[in-house]
This record gives sequence, structure tokens and C-alpha cells, in this order.
Amino acid sequence: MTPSMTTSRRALQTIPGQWGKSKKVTLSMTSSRRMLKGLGNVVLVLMLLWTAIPFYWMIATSLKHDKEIYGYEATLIPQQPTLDNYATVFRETPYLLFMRNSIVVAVSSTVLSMIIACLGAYAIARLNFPGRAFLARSLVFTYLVPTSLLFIPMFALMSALRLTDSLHGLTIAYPGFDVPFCTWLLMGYFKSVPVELEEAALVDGCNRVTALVRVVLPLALPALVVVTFFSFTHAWNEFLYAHVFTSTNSARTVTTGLANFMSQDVFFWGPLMASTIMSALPPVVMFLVLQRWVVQGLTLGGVKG
Amino acid sequence: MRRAGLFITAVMLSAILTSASIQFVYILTNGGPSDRTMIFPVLSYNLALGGAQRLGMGATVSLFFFPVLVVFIIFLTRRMLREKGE
Amino acid sequence: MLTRRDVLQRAGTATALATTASWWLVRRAHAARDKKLTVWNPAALAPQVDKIMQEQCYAYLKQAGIKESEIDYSVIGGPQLLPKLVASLEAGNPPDITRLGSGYVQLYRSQGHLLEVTDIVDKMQKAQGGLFPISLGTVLHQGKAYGVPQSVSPWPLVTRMDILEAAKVDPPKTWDEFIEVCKKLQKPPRLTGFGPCLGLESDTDNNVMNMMWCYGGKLVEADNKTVVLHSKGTIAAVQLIADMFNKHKIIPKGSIAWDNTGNNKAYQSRQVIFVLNPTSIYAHLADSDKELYNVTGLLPIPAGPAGAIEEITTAEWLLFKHNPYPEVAKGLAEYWMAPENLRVMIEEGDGRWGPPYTGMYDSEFWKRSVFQHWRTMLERGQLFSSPGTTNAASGEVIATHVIARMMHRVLVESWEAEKAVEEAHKKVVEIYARYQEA
Repeated sequence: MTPSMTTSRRALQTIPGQWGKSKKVTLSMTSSRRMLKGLGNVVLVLMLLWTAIPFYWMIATSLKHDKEIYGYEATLIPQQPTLDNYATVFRETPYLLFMRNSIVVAVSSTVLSMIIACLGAYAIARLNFPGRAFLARSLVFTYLVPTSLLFIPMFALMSALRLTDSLHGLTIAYPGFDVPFCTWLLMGYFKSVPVELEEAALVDGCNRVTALVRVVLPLALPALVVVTFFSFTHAWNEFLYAHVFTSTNSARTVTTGLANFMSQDVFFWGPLMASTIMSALPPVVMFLVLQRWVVQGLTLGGVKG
Repeated sequence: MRRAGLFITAVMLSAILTSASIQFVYILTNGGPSDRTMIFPVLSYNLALGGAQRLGMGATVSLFFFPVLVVFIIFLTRRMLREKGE
Repeated sequence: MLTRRDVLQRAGTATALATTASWWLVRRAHAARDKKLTVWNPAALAPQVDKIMQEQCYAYLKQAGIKESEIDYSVIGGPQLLPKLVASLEAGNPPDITRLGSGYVQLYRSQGHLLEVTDIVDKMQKAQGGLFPISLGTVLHQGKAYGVPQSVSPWPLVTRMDILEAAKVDPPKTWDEFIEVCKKLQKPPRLTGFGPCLGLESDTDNNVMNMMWCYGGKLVEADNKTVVLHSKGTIAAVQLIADMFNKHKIIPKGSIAWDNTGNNKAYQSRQVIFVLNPTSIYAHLADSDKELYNVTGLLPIPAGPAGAIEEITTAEWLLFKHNPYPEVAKGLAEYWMAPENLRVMIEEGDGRWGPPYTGMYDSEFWKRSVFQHWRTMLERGQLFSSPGTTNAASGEVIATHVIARMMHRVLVESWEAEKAVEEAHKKVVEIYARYQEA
């Protein structure tokens, strides 16, 4: 389920103008319209529960004792809440090291992707060069080929370059799936920026790069925010490459590091849930902060139709 | 329906991304009892890095899955770029 | 409008980038390894043992004058170890020392990855009465040793003695008695009788093979060439398990999805009465659940028509060749296996493994009543591939879970036992044929 689907749906409902525009419906509440709205709300509530319940379960499990987690009856609310599991994570695993690695890799790969994507999107959107259409098409193509098919050749490549088991390797590998998506999104957005503004800038003496930086990027800020956010989250959540390319703790990220400890202790679900909660926090916090721009960026520059 | 275009694009995109996602099947059943819930990515991973350690076989399995994906991808690429006004 | 200056600028930047990038990559590729020792110690499923081994490793380092920062010591979860090892061998940077079960020594030796350690094994032969033949057989190839035997673990029937005593029932001596006892004492769904591992995991291959022996089945003859999987004994054993699962219902249905810790967890959560497992459960309970620890018995396996034979698995330290400091790794293996250190690890680790030295079983620890059957088990127990030896082929049979898949055919897809056994037999024949040159 792609993220663009859920947020755009919500977005469409919060911007009443857009919804009403193509349907030409008056705003009087007839009973059938009310029923439709009620149905829509029910579906939304169900989807909310679908997404939120596992999250709640994670939090609840992280606060339970071993005996309760593995006891015969599953309890919805922890009987004797405890912070032991969180303590175990920090005491027995190098969790902070994993966090640091995740942050370093996610941030650097996002920055790298952003730079390449901005320049690339601008080139495809505005400049005219042979192979432009082909490049655009192959970008989308590349985005759609998944990592689960590419990990073997990537692994062979990384081993040959001795980049396995290092943060450098991951930082180079992640833009592989970030750049196509970011470029494609930005491409659509850059096209929506009026050409006249740039032409004015060019006349005033900017070259292409300055026009990009000074005129287009500030106007494309919502899209940039969206793209940064998705890049970061994608890199943060990435499991397969991190798992295959790294072997020692010094290079493991938060997604793969804890998977390793799963069969160390037979009763590890509590600490595992605790660490998952903590690992889920950075993207969630980022989203809460950037929420306004994400919604705006998706609807105004993203999927049109 | 005027929104059919968007719907088709979203469904195809979701289908491609889901069919290739390895995490869900790997964590839940790892191919399932007696390989009943096995999907290509998990098979490829298990062959390449599992007990028998046959990296070549794993890559071959991925390659077998590729043509199916390519058909979808070409179709979808055309749609997505058309919507961009390309 | 491109001026000459623009062109020169761009060409200059491009060249600078290209040269820096390639220089950096080449430097990386030739970077010498700075760590003196890389240890990948798989988790022992009993945390106190992991701790002791790490402490002993650091003590060795101090003795050898190596700083802790000069080594990389990782404890790795069981299922993670193999994929990591494969990936690292492919990349050309495996760890210096790791521990794997029977079969893998020969597999990696045949691929040319292992260091020869005959000197260490010879030294071990001279201590404490020497090594068990089973341990020695696993590491030797044409007279040379390629692994350091670490332990021998029989797989007893781990039992809830309190339940048996409360119902005044004697421990079952045959499989038929066993079924009756289970049916009588179990209280599904909370408490089920028998919890063998039946997922696509190595524990399953071991559990099923163990029961096959009691009915006369076996994998391969002593010549390591004639595969004899397809036999009446095998079919009878497979049918027995299928009946336990479907007809008598003494096995929890979820066991099909268990991994190697599934049966541990089931026993430790008090959901099954009997489990066939090495003492990882027992050692874990020593730390985590003293109550259950005190009522757990380690019984010999029930007998079938062909007798009662326990499974023994051995573990060995594997030392890899791509190592600029082999002496350090060898020194660590020797240190860990020195009888005094081993005694500490085993006895303070509450018997997680048995030492491979024949003479180490006379201490107070091993005289406890819970270990009263240990000697018998060690004397009559055998390895997975018996009467053949562990080799690369038997390693692959376990690694690809041929036996476990055979059980799944019967339990999940409702095949006839004979048909599933035939299919498994064909697969094993193909595997053994492939390794004939080695």
C-alpha cells in the first residue's frame, strides 16, 4: 500500500473545493449524501483501527513482563506495566550504536538523493537534450524494479568494491531506489512552476543553476519536503540491503541490528517491541513536524488526475 | 468513472510494490508450511543466503520473476508519464 | 551560452571528481584489515553461557597481550549466522573463528575455506582421556583436523517430571507407552503432550531422524555412498509422527511453524510435557525459571522396535583461512577448550553442552541425578548421518531440510508416507551424487 494513496485520500476530503469541483454537487445535505458521508467515515475509522492497533499492541507488549507476553492468555492491557524491556535493550544490545548508524546512513543518503534528484528533475523538466524522454521513462522503470530482486547483483557489486559491512556502502546503495522516485515527483512539480518566472530570472543574468536554486526551489518547497521525508523514511526502514550488506555490529542499522538478537534470548519479544517503538519515533516525529507541507505537496504537485 | 485512471494507476503500482516485498512473507511464514506461501523474492533469498548457499540459483530465480514485472512496469510507466503530461 | 571558461570549469570538476572517486575506491579495496581477531560467537540460547565465553575470550586477550579494541567480538543470533557467513565468504572477509554444528566442518573444508588445526586437536587428544570418537570423526579428513571439537550434546527427552509424578505415571519406555502417557496427561489446548520441532528447521530434521532410528530407518550406509533412506523403518517412523499429529493429537498444530526456538519456548511456557532437545532448555531455565528447572527431567528416548538410540550433535570451532593473524584465532580456540576453562563454562553454564573429553564426566556436576542417563546416551547415541560420517553431503541434507520437507508433505499436504519418503530419498541420492568427488 503506497503512502500516497492514504494521504491523498485524506487530503481530498480536507480541501472541499477540489472534491466538489468535478462533481458539480450542491452543498445541501440530502439524506443519501449523508449516508455516503457516514459510510466514508466508517471506512476511515476501520482503516485507522487497522493501522493503529498493531502500533498499540507494540506499545502494550513492550510494557509487559515476560510471563504475561508468553502466558497462555493474551492480555490487551498490561497487568503489571514495567520498563524492564527498555532497560534490557540498552543494557544488552548496542542499541545506541545502531541508532547512530541508522541516522548517519538515512541522513547522508537523503542529502545525496536530494541533490541528484533536484538537478535531474530540473534537467528533464526544463532542458532539451537528446535522450530526455528515454531518461524520464527509464527513471520510472528503475523505481519500479524492487530491491528484493536487485539485492543479489548489488551484493556482488558491493563485495567486489569491498563496500560491504560499512556505512559507506549503504549510503551509496540507498540512493539507488530513492533517486528515481524523488526525481519523478520533483519532475512533475517543477513542470507546474510557470516558465515565465525562470525566463525572467535568466534574462536578469542568472545561469541555469542559479535559476534553479533561487527561483524554482523556493516555489517547490512543499514537494521538496515531501521528497525529503519519503527518502528519509525509506532509507530508515530499509531492511534487505542493510541485512545483506552488513555483518558486524559496527555497521548495522536499527532495522537489522535487533533482528539479530531475536533468537539470542528465547524470551525476547518484550525488548524487541521496545526497540521497535523507539526506532519508529524519528520518522513519526518528522512527519508530525512536516505534516502540513506533506499533504500540500502531495496534492498540488503529485498525482494529478 | 472519471477517476478510473487514477485508480488503475494506484492499483498497479501497489501490486508491483507488494508482489516484490519480501519482509511480510519472510517474517510471517518464511514460505509457509511445505512451501505453500512461497513467493519469488523469498525463494531467491533462501536459495542465495540460506542453508545451501547457492548464490547463482538465487539470482536465477530473480531473473525468472523479472519478465512478469517488466510487463507491468512498462504498462505502468506509460500511464504515469502520460499523467504527467509527458 | 557556453563560454570556453564554462567548458574548462566543467571538465576540470569532472576530472577531479573522477580521479578522487576511483582513488578512494581503490584505497578501500586494498585497505588492510586492522582488527587482529574477528569472533562470531553464535548465541547459546542460555545467556549466562554467552557471558562466560566472552569473559574467557577477554582473559585470553589479556594473556596474549592484545587490546580489546583490536578485536571484534560479536554474539550472533542462530538463524542470522549462516546467511551472514555465506555473505562474508562470498565477499572474501569471513570471521576468524565461529562455531557451527556437525556437518559444516566438512562442508566448508570441501570448499577450501578452513584452517588446518591438527596441532590443537592432537593436544586435546592428550588431555582428560582424549576426545570422544564421535567428535574426532567429525573434524578429521584424511588424517588432518579442520575444526576444533567444542562439545557433544545428546538430545534427551526433556520432561515435566512434576506432571508425571502427580499422576503417578512412570516414564514411558516405548513409543506406544509414550502415546498413551501423553493422551492421559495432556489437557489441550493449554497443555499438549509432545512438542517436537516440525518447522522447516534443522531441529526438525534431527527430531525426525531420531525417531526413525528407533524404527530402524537411517540416512546412509557406512560407506557414505549408499543412500538407504527409503526403508520400512523410515516409513513407519513418518507414519508414527503423522498419527501422533492427526489421530492421537498429542502434538500442537502450531509446531509446523516452529523455528529452532519454538520447542524451547513451548516447554518454557509450560505448554508441552515432552520435548526432544539438547540441554539448551535446561540451561536456560537455570537462570530464568528455577521452579521449572527443578522439576525438569532429562530422560532417555522411548524405544521403538529397533531399540532406543539418542541423537548426538556435536559443535566445532571453525577457523577460517582468510586471516592475517591465524595464531591469535588458534590461541583462542585452545584457550576456550583447555579443560579448566571448559569446566567453568560447562558447569557454570548449567550443562548447556557436554565436554568432548571423555574424562570430564566424573565431576560432582555430572554426578547429579538429573544427568544419570547421560553416560548411556553418550555411549549409544549417534550422529545424524550414522552409520555414515558427517560430511559435506550430509551437511547439505540438513541445510536444505530434506527430512523436514518430507514431514511437511505428509502433515501439510496429506501425502502418503511412502510417497514422501520416496521423494526425499531421491533428493538425498542427488545430493550425495554431487559430492562424490570431494
